[in-house]
Amino acid sequence: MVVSRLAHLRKTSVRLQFLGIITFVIGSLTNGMAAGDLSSWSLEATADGSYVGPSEIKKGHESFGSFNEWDTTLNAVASNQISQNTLLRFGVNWQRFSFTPDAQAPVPGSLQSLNLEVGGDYQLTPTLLLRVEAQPGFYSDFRELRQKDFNVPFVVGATYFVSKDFLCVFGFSVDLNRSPRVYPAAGARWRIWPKVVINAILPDPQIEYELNRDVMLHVGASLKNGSYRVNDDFGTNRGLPKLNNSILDYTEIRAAAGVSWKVSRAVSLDLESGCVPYRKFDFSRADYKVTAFDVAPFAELSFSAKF
Amino acid sequence: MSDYFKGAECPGSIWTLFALILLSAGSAYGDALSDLRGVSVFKDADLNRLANGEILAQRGPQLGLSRGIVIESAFVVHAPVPQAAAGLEQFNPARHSELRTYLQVDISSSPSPNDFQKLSSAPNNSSVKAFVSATESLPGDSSKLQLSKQEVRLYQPSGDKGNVPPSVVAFWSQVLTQRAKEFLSSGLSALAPYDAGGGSVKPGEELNRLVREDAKVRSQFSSLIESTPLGGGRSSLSPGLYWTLFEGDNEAAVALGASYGKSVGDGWQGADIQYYASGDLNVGVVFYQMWPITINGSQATLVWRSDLISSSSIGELRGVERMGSGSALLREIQKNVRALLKDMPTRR
Repeated sequence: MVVSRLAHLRKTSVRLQFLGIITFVIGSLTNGMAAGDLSSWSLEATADGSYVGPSEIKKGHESFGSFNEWDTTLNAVASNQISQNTLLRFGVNWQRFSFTPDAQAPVPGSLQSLNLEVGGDYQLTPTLLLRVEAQPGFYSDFRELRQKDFNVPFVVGATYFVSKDFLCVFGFSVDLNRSPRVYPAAGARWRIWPKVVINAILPDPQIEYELNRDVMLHVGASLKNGSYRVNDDFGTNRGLPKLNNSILDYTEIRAAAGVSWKVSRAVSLDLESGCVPYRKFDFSRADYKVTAFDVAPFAELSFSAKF
Repeated sequence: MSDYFKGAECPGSIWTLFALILLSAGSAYGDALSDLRGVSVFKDADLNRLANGEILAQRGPQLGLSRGIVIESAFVVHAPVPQAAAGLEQFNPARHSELRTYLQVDISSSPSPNDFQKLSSAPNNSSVKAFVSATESLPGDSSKLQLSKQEVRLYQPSGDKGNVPPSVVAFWSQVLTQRAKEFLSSGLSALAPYDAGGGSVKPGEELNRLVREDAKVRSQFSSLIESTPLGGGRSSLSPGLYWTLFEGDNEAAVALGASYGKSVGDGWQGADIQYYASGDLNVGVVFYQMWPITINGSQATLVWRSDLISSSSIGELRGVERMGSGSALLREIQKNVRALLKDMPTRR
């Protein structure tokens, strides 16, 4: 008999991200192909935005007032399969965290990254996929764009398929600005029942329940982090000159429940809400950090498409 | 011992005989392995590892059909070719819970709704409930059950109860009987198109395209293909017809299949054509090539299997997801082969 149960396959891969402009490029590349023909090109795009409610910033018992947060991400990655085992990836990513701190709070008004994603996926063995990806770009508060805001973090990861229902992910990311510079990571994705998946893979570990083929409910956590260089006057303006031009490691942990809706074959929407119990602004090289431990509510809307 | 020395008295004949035995054993061994290496993706296949139970599996050639994927596998059955072929023909995945096939039932050579009455004995689980619920929501989206508009009109809701209510059994019995009859009478060309996610699927065209695009399969199985509906006409071989109920995408699905087999030289070739499914996959065909080999003096069979599958789900995959789907699917096929080997007669 023909082995089936194929539909689960579309959910086995690690979540990918994107934007829509390159659709036109892909459209022109695939022009003239017959319906049902496979193109070696593909495009994946995501756009998401979220709002996080007020939370108090503290250093020890010292308060710097409260702040709200908006964040936005736009991402587009085009892939070209150049051989049976090799896929090249080219993309662009923009992420912005906007904060509303008091003027004296050691928190920037925004943290942004505008970077390329350049890398590839390689099938090392029939059941082992390797991804190497560099993310060269500017990572700063974007008060001005300087050469020293340029950084090239990169990730190396592998996915091993133990079975159709269980895969392991392991790898590491390297960011010479971040402390620590090398982050190892490991995770797994396990379909324990036909409708239930434990997705223990950073940055979005969650339990997923597939209500039907178009709707999925999920509950879990989300980790957002990055390293950014603040401007030359950042510390002086806040009475903390040692923070001028320093590297800020930002970390945010969210707990959320949400619903994903597959609007069409190519387009999905995701709405989630929950709370943000932990945010940290760590100027590790300057030995200075502030945190927000208030449980702030948040809501996020994501759009993703693949062509 | 004395016989040995008797032979030594006429060394010419005994050495000739010994050489012939070695040559024939080596030939069966060598030819089968080189044939496997020649036709498959397993260019470095190691017979010792295969004989020790390794099941090779790898993605086959990339097809032009976006919904299509090929997975090749190779393994050894510790039984002669005729027994291995018989074991394959008698294999019932419903006996292996890990394969999540709930029912697999033979269809008579003159299909009738009676052939499908066992659908009423489907297990009571969420997948089957979802299948029943999707049927009872007809005439909803016909593409969700991969039905044609005409087939949808056959459903007569009755409000009856049960794990699989009689109205659902009656509906699917009609649909599957009609499709099985069409297949038997006129082959692939007679199969009615149905709606699937993203458009209409013509099962015959889809199967033909799968086979046409895999040049190695087309060449290796050309004689078998000509003897089955894949060759374009009616089959000169008698098919083993069956239907199956299996777990699909959180929803059980029914499928129709026909298996064919014939001896080719000292080996055997088979094809299992799945020409209709109510979900998860569109169509598929599995080819088997069996070669006789000798392992430690015992007759055994080297098997090359090639799964050609068309599925709307695969058509939706892009980039690395598509690459990963091949890895996941080959694990599924290895699981299937493992179950098959458990049921095989062995001479180890």
